[in-house]
Amino acid sequence: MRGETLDQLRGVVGAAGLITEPGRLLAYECDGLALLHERPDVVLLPRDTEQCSRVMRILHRERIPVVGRGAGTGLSGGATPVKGGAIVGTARMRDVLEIDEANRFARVQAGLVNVDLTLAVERAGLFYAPDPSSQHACTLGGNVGENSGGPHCFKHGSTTRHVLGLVIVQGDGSVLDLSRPAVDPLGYDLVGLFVGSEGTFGIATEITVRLTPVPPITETFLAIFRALEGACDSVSDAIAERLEPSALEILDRLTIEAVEASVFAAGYPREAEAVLLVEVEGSEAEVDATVTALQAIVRRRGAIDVRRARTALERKKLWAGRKGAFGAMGRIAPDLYVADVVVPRTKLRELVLATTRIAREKHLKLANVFHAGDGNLHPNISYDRRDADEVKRVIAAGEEIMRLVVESGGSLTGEHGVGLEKQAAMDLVFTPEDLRAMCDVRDAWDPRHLLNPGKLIPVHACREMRDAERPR
Amino acid sequence: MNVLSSLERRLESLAGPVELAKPRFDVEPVPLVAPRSIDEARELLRFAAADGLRVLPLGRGSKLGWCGIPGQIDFALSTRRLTRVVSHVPADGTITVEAGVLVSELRERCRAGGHFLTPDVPRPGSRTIGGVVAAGESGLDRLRFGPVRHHVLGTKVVLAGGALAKSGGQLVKNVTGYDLHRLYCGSHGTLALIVEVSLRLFPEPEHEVLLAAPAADARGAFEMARRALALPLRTVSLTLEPDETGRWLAVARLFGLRAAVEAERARLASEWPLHRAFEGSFARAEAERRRDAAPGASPERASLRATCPPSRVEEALAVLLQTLQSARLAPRALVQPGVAAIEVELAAEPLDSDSLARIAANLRTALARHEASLSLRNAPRAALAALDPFGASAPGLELMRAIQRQLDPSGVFRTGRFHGGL
Repeated sequence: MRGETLDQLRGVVGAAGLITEPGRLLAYECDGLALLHERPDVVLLPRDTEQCSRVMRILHRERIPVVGRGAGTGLSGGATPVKGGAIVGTARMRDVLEIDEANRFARVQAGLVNVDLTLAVERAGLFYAPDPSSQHACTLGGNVGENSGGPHCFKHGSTTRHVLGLVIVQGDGSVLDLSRPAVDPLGYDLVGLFVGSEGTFGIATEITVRLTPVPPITETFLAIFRALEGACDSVSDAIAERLEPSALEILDRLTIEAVEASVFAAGYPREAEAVLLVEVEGSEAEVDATVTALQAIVRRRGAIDVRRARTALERKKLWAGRKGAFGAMGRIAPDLYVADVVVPRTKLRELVLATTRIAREKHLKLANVFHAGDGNLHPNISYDRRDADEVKRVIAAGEEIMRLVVESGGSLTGEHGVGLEKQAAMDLVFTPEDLRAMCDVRDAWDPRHLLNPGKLIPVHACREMRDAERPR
Repeated sequence: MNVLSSLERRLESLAGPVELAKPRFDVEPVPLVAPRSIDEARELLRFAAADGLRVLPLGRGSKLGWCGIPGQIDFALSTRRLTRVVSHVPADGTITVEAGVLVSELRERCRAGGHFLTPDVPRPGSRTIGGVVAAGESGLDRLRFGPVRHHVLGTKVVLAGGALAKSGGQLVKNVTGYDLHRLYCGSHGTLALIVEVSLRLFPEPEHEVLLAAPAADARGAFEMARRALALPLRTVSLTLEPDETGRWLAVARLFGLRAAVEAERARLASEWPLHRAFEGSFARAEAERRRDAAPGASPERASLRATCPPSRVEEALAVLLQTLQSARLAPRALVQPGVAAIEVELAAEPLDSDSLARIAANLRTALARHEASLSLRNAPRAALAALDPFGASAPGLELMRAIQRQLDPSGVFRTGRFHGGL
């Protein structure tokens, strides 16, 4: 990158907002998907929409590709840099701009950490519902980019159902202010379209989100199983019986062992082959009826014990184990590949067992911890990236799992996004015509293909993208 | 031989019988064709793109009056013969159907599988599910379930030129690829023809109660709504409406598990001591009767729809009623305080279009001071000459036009009916 360009960028964000030292750039080489990494030329950390807009204008003029980044907790390589490009991060945009309790919304800067929003509004009896496991680190901007989920999205829906407005800095630096919440969009639903676009449409700098009232009663219990099948079948039964808990999470034996040996120890029984963590919210009558029906199901499906959280502290502990599960896996091996497929909820048992078989055949260690209620599986494969052969087997297992799931009516990703990781597998789900329509919409947002290029849609699907001169 | 008849013959050869129809009550008749399969729809749109024709997509046409007056239309394409149920998996709580399925039939099908279909739109026997999605039409049950766009899991569309393109799927959680179905939802057929829709379903309630309570005036009705909304209830719908005498009625619909509904009913009854209650099938019948008769439900009547932040509904209503009453327009109103929407149906007698346009324009300005926006539905043709029925200019209109050009370069669906001439 030209020194003159760097000077101009520094002029906008100041010395503290621009990183070019190789040592510091290391931290930006990848996101949570450590399998893939690339060093950016520069990292830019604007403080607000205006700075972001000026930065983008310069980058656009110089035809420098841009990757947006929140906290870098993504798991699909969405924030992995493009060689020779810039990263525009939201780390210095963390303000809560407005809280409107009466109309139940908040307007925040994109770099605000997910859990900090709930902390800011809980005294008003409100919370922000989407709760990714990484919610203590991940940002709302990242959540918007990926349309993130979380355990309670089973009841409340993924990020997209909670985003009411956005301020977007487009590729050429122009600012699109869609921040005002509206009952229905005027014209096309640009906000709904933007959520989950993985940084390929622009950089969201401000986000208006819906706040949800804290339910009057919350009940949490753990059903303990001697077989993983029983836990899976319980969830399929709960869906078939049209019960409406707020979360249904399964952890298998290997996950339980890792959690219990870690700082996240939640008191999950080590002798269990699987546990099903259930939460039900609502009025007393609603919670009582739903809990009774769910407990009958888990008993029928072979649960050997049901442990109810009696206090808020016990509930917190049960959830700390679930949310710390990915971190705890570090005890099994240095690296973790977190798959993120979705299956029809009638096929949970069949596909969970199939992923386990695929890993076994490839001599890999697979632990299951997943949002069972949504059919969103996370087969987690532990590996050591220094072992080239093992890395190859991990990638092969990931591909085989995706193929199998798609053949069974499932999908590649439920909440982590396509990014770099699943790009090649998009052809399994979509026809060239499907992908062509997506490319066309992308072209409308970013005609120069400078926004997170090479992500999400396979390059071969996009004629213009394929023919485009390599930026730089 | 005139041009029209040769076009008709061509359409007939591609997709069966053609009739002449008026897609709106006040536009010229155009040839209307209803393909019997998605493949036939693709052929028609391939032909349209190749010959530079303009196409008006519709289901049963119940919401064409929400849009502006179209420019040139060569033929209308109805999905009403695309009525296949592609996949219904009650044990997964999801369904995929072709776009021409009537909402009434879809609702019955879902009920047989133990599910409730949202949105609970009015007059479901005259609406297709594709039309509901294309218009982004939510029902009065939105208070509980949210807008329709939240429950569309995926779509298949035919683009101008005949390409068949899918987004999403029949899964309750899925972030694979762009959510193009969010783009099509509410686009009124100006981007593509929706031919298949996948939806998330909700449990059919075990029990249902409808409470209707009187209030002396609008202020009293809003106070009742505030008390109801402050309770931790999962209210399905909450509406306020005046009767001919100026008294108001607050109506709340509760449903779900029997024990939960009974408990909720007791809580609400303590806030609304004077009320009339309907239960079980009576509650449903009453809710559906009110839904179908509600202001805004009839495609034959001009209506206004104002939306705003929930805290400003009462003041927005006051502005609306004052203006309309002083113009002697005898409005009939329905307020959804929790959703923050007001529907006002104007009197049946023919309106002077000029004064309607003037009143609407003035209202738009007045309401903007209360953060409210206003749309016009089923307005007479002349009133729309100077007025965008959807609202004042939206941010991002240029981007919307770019998206439309990308998806429909030959302009097959670009009839200028939607917001900003899209």
